[in-house]
Amino acid sequence: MAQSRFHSQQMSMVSRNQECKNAEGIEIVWNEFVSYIDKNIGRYQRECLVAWNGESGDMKWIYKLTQAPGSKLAMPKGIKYSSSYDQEAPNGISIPFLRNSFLRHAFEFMRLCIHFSNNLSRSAPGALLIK
Amino acid sequence: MSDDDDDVAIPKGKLIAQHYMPSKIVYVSFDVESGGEYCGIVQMSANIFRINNNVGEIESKSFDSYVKPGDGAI
Repeated sequence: MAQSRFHSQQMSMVSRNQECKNAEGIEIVWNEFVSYIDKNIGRYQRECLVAWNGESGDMKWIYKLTQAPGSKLAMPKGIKYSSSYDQEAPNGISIPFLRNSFLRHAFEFMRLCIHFSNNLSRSAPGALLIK
Repeated sequence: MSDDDDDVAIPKGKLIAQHYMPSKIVYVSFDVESGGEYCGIVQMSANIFRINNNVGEIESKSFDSYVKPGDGAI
């Protein structure tokens, strides 16, 4: 049993290694991200981008990619608002920032259940909140 | 609701009032892993979720992709 688990972990690592080797540049990956957003959002829905803010946060990278002078990439058109897990407005991002847009439970839900790449493999402490 | 709704005058403090109805607003949780200032982004992932009556629903399909750093990455 343990050997089988070890083997499956090993295979997963090999697969991930292959994915890393075949990775595309940021322009292509960003366009894939934009099309992922477009495919999964209804026509009359509005999107709110939620990310960590701060010195080494994700909002800084979004700014660098899409909003900084000389940046070549564009934000998905459907994204009308932004918000951050730490509720601090990001510097430089020109999308309207939502503060207190959710109740405390929603924030707890996001922190416990949402994301990230290893999310599927970990148990969710707030699983009761998920339908 | 039409696309023209974006042009409607919004009362102060009610930025998303017109969209803040069940399933009208969709959240995109975005995360990147970076190799530092001189390397840039190495992985990008995103999840779509909706919150209706304090209950969260996560879109089953998430976005997760590795990124090849630029030529000058350190």
